[in-house]
Amino acid sequence: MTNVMVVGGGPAGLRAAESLARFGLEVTLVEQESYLGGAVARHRYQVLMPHFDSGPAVLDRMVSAVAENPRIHIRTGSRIGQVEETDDGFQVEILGRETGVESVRAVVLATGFTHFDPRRDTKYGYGLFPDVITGAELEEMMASGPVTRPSTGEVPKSVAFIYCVGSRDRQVGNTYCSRVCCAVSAKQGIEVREQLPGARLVMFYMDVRTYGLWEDELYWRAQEDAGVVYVKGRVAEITQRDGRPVLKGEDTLVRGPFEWEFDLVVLAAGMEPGEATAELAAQFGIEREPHGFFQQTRPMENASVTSHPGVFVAGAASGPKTIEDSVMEGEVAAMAVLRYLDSKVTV
Amino acid sequence: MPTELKTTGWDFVTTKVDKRAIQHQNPEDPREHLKELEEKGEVTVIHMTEENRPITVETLLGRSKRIPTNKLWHHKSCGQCGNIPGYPTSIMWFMNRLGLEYLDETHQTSCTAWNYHGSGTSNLVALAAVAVRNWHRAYETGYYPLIHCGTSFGNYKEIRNLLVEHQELRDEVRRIMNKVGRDLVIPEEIVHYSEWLHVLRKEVAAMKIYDVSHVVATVHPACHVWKMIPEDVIYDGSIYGGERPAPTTAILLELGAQVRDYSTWYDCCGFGFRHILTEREFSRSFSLERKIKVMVEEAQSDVAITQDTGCTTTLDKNQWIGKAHGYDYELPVMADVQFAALLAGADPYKVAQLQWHTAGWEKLLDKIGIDWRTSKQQYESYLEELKAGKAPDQLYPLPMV
Amino acid sequence: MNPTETHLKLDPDEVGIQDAESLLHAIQSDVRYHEAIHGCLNCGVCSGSCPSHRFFDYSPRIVVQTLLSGDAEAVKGMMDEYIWACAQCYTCAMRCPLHNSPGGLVMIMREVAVWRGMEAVHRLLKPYGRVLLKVLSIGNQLTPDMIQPDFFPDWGPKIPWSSTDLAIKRQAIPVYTLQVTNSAWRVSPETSYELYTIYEETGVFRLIEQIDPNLYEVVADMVEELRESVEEARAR
Repeated sequence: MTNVMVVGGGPAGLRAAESLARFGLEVTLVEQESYLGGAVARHRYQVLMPHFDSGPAVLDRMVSAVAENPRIHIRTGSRIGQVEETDDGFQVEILGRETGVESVRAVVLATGFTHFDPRRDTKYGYGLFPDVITGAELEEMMASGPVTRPSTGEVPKSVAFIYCVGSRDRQVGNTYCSRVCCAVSAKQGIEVREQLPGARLVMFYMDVRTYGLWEDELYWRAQEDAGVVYVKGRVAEITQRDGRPVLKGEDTLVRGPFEWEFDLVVLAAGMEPGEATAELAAQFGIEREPHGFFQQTRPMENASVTSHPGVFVAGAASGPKTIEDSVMEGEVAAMAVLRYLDSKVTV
Repeated sequence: MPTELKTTGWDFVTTKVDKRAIQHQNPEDPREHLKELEEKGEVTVIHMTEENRPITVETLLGRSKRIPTNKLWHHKSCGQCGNIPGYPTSIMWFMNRLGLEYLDETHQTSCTAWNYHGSGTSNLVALAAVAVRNWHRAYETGYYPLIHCGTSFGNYKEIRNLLVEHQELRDEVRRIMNKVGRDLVIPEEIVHYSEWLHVLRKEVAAMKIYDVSHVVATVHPACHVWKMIPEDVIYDGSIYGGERPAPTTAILLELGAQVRDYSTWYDCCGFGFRHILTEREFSRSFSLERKIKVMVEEAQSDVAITQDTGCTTTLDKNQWIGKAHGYDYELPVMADVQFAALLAGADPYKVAQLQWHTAGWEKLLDKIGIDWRTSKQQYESYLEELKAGKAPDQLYPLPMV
Repeated sequence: MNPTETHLKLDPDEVGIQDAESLLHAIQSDVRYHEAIHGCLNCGVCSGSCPSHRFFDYSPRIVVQTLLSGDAEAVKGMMDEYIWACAQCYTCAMRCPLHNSPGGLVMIMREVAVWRGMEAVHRLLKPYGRVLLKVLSIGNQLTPDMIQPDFFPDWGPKIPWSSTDLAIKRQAIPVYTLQVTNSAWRVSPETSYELYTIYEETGVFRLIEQIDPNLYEVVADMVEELRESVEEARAR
């Protein structure tokens, strides 16, 4: 029996663990939180981009597939301690409720991402103005009840979405695109419209990146079915007037300079490497790419290969990614682990 | 979800957000390069000494900045001295009250950056040479330069960075300095008086004799103070959650005034460097429509508090003409240090010199309880005495010359 | 392709060279140029922050885009009037996601416009004459005696008070601040002497001689007089 470790219990890690166990391997799944499901669970996503699947249903299926498999040993509330390389793998210390050392032949790092904290981009007044929230906070709000203004509890008559918060901006140190926020915001616009039939919903964008099949399914649908207005112009600053956020910027195509009040403002905060990324890279001796994510060293061959044999990566730990791509990479990583172990045996 | 960080109303001014903990990937720090140049013997750095009694604060990116509080070389502002005499007077009045040592002397020029930005008749080398000449003069006196004007402050920060980055600029400036018998020196920190006031705000507020808890102040942050080289400006997690600069707002809170936000807080005053002279319509409209009107109507402000020269002038002087177009406002405008001086008992005429300000401030002083009428009478008869040949009074002995 | 060689300052003897390509080259070879422009996403943050964009036909985004286009004629077309609307507040520079400084680019363009003697100069220097005279002669830009009702009729009824009995009113300040009326503070002759050397060495005097001979004549007399008196004092 061969033991493999999967670090991270989000969609990518869950899928990798499930597949590795089905292939007959013993899997230790390490998750720092007390629950499985990653960002989907943390923010209680109810409806998933792009196909409007039920978040809880998708999560339930993935988590139970792991929880019910006797070959998977789940170690929630745990982190990685010392890592030592051995002749046939790694000795990995697990810190948590049950501290101990595991011998594993291979490791899949599926540690995901953290959302950009918009307090780092001071022009949006996030943290100062109660009605400026993040997309993740909107998801949490929709999971627990109707969409309301945090300041008053009233139903908003207007909602603005601001794209590229914490992405594509040297001022905050993130020069990459977070890939999913445009489509997630479109999904949220469509969802919010269900709740707020009369509200004015406006997207402030620099580019709308709803790749491939998402174009009509999300971008066009948001406009045509949900009556969402798209304004091209990155919002320059947010202030507050009589308790309502005021958005200042330039509509670069149509209106010129604008100053626009909204009841609720949703910041489409981008994705950053998870907090433990740098430390894990050092522990497992793998490289990070210039933006700080784990480096995929041979992406043309296999998305999960890193700079160190036996260490694989899956999901948003190697860059911003959708849930479905993360699940797919979990599968890819499982396959890569098998190939790796197979090649080691034959040598 | 960090809802616990959010509050409603205007309390957010003091909402604490630990921004320092979340900053990363900082751009390069020119002061580090300056240190390297100094080690290589390429430039002389003006260092603070113990005598300067520096106080360490944090700037935008969580870096440390030392602010000297004593033994200061006043690098004055031509716009303040020319137009707002109560501005430098209040600074020096506080230094005397606090028993601090300073030097105010004739061997300085202005930074010449107003003319540069407005007319384009200068150039980078001339600006840098003027800056270094003033720095060198401070250096040879042993007093640390304290910059009164916001444009000088922004400009000097930029010049410091350019000198650090470009050897050819250093060489050219050194050549010119040698011609006037000086050398290339660069201060370890470029320091604005509002930063000095900020670090001494507790001492200054302790001198307060009037209650202003019922007074509503709005702050106009000066563009050249904080938008030029923003990473060199003081931020404090307890002021605007660390998302806007702390000086001026912090001293007002320390003095016990209510500080209110308004929706055009980030906007400039309308000064525009050349606009105040050549595009007056812009200066007038902008200051009235985007600042004064908003401060009064949104925030019901009793006073607009500034931290720089051009803004004080623009916001103050453009109110009267607005009456012709229905902008019937009379919002007193003064610098943070003038306001603080008034609260510490400075004479509104002799020290704060409010008689040079055009927007009426009398109602504000009545609200605070300052007897300006007696001051006015005394001032007017004092002017008559001076005209008759009386020698002028001095509150404090002449500082070192 | 942008020029790789850079310059710190322009040559005042090139006043009059105004062909579009040479102006663009002068802009792009300024030592500060490459730090002020990187690329442009057309996102609108600069213009959205810009005070002048709300009041004039002016957009910092268009300035950046035009420079990036390399269209020398279009760049030249901006230098007479368009860029002079900028208020030099640097909000754009503080916020640009690419770390461009549109305000810094405008400053480089203004300098080129003036140092090449473009039409803007004549419009510009007229209301600036008094400031220029002060800045060239004593290194101060604003002095008590410049606040006159004739120049600031729109500043209201208190201005006449601010322009009379200046000497007495400045004497009445009971804290020593080196107050005089024709300068922001008393400037030592030695300091002005050093300042003149700076202006001479950086081409500023020569520029003024080229673009405003009348002003230069006044300044030159003052310079000569001061230099003589300082040199006499030194000789003693």
